[in-house]
Amino acid sequence: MVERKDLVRFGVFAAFIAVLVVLVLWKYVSVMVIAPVTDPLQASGPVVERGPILDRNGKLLAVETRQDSVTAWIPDVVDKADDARLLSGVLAIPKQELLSTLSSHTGFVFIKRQISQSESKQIQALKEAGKLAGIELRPDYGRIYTEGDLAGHVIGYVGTDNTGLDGIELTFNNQLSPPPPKSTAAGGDFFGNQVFLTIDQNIQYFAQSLASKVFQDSEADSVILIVMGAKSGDILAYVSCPEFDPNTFSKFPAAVRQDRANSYIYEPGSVMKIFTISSFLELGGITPETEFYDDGTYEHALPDGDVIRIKGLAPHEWEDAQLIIKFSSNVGAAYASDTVSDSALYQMLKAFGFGSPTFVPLPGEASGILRPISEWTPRSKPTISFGQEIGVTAIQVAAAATALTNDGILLKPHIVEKVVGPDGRLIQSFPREPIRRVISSEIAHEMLGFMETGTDPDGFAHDAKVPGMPTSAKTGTAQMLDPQTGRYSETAYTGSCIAIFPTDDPQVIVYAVVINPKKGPYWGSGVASPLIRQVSERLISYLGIPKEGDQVVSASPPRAGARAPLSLSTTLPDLTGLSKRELLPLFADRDLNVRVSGSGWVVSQTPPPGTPLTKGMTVSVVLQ
Amino acid sequence: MSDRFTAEKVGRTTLDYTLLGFMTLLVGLGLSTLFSASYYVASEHFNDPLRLFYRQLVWVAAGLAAALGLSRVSMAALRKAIPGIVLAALGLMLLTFVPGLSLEALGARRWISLFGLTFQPSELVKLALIVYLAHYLDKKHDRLRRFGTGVLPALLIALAFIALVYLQNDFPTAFFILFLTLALLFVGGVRILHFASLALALLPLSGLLMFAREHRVARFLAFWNPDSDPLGRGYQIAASQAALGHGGFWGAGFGRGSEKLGWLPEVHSDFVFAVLGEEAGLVGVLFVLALFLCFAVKGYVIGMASKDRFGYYLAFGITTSILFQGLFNVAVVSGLVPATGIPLPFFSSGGSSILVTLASCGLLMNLSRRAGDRAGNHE
Repeated sequence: MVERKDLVRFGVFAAFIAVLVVLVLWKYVSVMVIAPVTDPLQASGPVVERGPILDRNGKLLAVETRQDSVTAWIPDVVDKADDARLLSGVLAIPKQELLSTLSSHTGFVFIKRQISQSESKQIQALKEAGKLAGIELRPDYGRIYTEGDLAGHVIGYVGTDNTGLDGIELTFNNQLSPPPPKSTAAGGDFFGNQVFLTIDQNIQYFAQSLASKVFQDSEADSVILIVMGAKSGDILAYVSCPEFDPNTFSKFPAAVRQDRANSYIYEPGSVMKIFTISSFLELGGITPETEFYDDGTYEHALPDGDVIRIKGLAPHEWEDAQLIIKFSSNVGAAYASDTVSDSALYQMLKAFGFGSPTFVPLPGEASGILRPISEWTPRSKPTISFGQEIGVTAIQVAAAATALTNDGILLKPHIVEKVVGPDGRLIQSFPREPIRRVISSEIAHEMLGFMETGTDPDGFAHDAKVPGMPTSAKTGTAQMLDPQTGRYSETAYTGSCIAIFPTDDPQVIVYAVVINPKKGPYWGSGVASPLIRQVSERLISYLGIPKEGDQVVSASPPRAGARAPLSLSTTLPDLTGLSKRELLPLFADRDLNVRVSGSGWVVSQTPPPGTPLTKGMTVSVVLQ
Repeated sequence: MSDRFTAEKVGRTTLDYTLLGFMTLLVGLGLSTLFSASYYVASEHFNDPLRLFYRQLVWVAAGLAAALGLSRVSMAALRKAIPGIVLAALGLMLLTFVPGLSLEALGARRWISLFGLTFQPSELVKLALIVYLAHYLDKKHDRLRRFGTGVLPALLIALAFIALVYLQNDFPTAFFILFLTLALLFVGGVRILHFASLALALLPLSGLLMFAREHRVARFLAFWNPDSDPLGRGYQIAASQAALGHGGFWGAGFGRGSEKLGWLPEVHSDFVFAVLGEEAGLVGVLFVLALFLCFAVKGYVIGMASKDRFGYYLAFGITTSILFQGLFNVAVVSGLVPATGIPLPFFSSGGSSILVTLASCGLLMNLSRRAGDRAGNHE
């Protein structure tokens, strides 16, 4: 029945289809193979759940949350006024603002990102009731910093698109949120790695609280406090006041968010002497027995007839290296510097790490200022010997001190302990990392001994000492440069103090810097030493470091301390820190199932402390 | 050879296994793609990952039942029922404007809801109009060269449907039905002059109507320059293209697509093909397109082999309808033409579409069997 004429018509039609098919095919080949495009919102492909950041004991500091974001696809929106009215009720955004958002866009727009669960439910209910056409909820990953401003400068924060913008969130972004391998199975969600910090949440907490108190009381510009494991180089606490809360980082000015501990450059003052005097000893310019006469003024005649004069605070008469440290004599340090050459001192300071970043993986680290000797004047060497004409960062000073606590070998400071995969597999760890020998073992021990005399009742740093704890300490006070005049200010000072204890077998290095205190004492021994003592007191009891006169019972766990025997009442107690032996007898006569994994001391428990005890309840504890 | 005789021959049970094979492959692939594409959306919206999939299964079953029925119906009976079919379609369309029965979603009134079931009558309109036009073009074949008495009556009926669909705020379907009408008139043999003037008059008119609504303009502009505002207008297209780009040549693997995880709006309905592209790659895309073309060739061959013009036009209309919806949809998904609301037959979630598509296939089977009769049982 189909005639030839029909076939011609059909042929024309078929040709038309053929053209369309060719166009479609060409488009697919080009979009899929020749020039593939990526999603503007999701360039990395599958959704990656960002890994958590934890402290050294596995306490969560940053965790991922999944919240909905409210979006609108304007072409599908029917009644903007009604949508604005309904959303305003749920989201607590003024109706007018919503209406202008809906009216000023013509396509896809985010109305509010990361809303609460109850908000999500209300919007879902409205949508199920047939309202809110064109408004959609879409999953959005967010970040919660469980401890608020605790270690905020270390952790950093992420942007609303969940990429790290600062701190560990930035420097370990690729570990926390690795690009998912294209060929990996289990399509859908991928999980980032867990980053364990060397920070101890408890130490960080009291260090931060004590530093904040000093920050407020002294009305300082800033207080920096670093606690470091003396033998490991692990940073246990890292404080840069003023603090900020990463949960609401955008509400804090950039100056507050700045990590001053690794970026603020200042003249260290007399704390520097522990490194310069060690250098003179190492270089052989002086011996512990070498004495200089301090009549209150250092004088050095130059070949051209000029005389350099540096006035000290008070005359100390004959003094050796130990007394220079104990009484913090600038004149003595300056005379000692005459025994070595400019380049020798420069090389030693370089070896201690000054003038170079420590490469602690936090963003924005400064190198400090150690000018090349070609720029030194005859005045430079004696001046540097007591900590002026040199710019340092707090992290540099704390790191350099590891050379004193490790028999002369400098360690690289660490802030990340390990990176663990989502499956618990260890991906990367950062064990103790010696960099180089800077001074001999003898000189390191000698210097700690000199510094210990600084905490004698007549020493400059006696305020830094916890009674009964042999402590090596050194204070420093430096005038700040007045940015207006370019000269030293008469009113602005930086007070600092470093303490290392116990002297014989150093466990911790504590370093505090108080920048421009405006109330109370400004000098290092007045403002920074008491802070060091308060932190040290807490550290000693938390870490269980035995003091003189303490009865040493056993080499017990690092954090058990003196703990009251566990007694069971109606609720489950906090078991963390207990050993297996302490744990099991308590449960033997009760109707509880105890599941123990690992060995060592309890680091976590389920259910959490405070859960009411019931018969037949299962309690799981993890030991490490 | 009158309608009376053919009506009596319906009884033989020769099945067109080729057509059945293509149908089965398309339905199977469609279901598995929808399964992968919809579980995320369904678990987000209904807290039940299989909700959309199961709903589609029910409609597929209903469609197969309809296909079975229509494959056995007498053509004469069908032609006699045409006025009833057209009136029923018109009635259903009008029901969408009755407030109690109509269901409004995403700003359009395209659905009627009865006893908890929703149906989109414009899908039925596609088939009803094809049947009507096939009948009309056959009956008035000798008069088609005249405009007033030949072309116009059919055109008015078609335009009435198109107007109703347009009033439902469903411009893409209206445009599609217009296109289908023009294709049938062209193949049916109207004069080229008439055809050309119609096309020249109606296409600009539809352009004008398109711009009557702001959102279509936005879609259109987004199409021309999606990169200008990647988070805005062009987002859906960009996300769809990203899915295809991620798929590459071999695809990400079944179930392993990621754009469907909340990134691509309407992923289970109009953009389901993007999931296929992402998971099965260019290879899968080519395979499905080839399948659609094979299906079309088979449909056109059935039409050519048909022993009357009604059969030819009916097969042509049905095949063109399915092929063109498919081509339109995949063109949208790849960003070749602006985003429309045309579903991908056999694939897109949506009961009315799969029901009508399968019912149409039943009619094709019916025609194929008759063609087989003629071949095997020469009169």
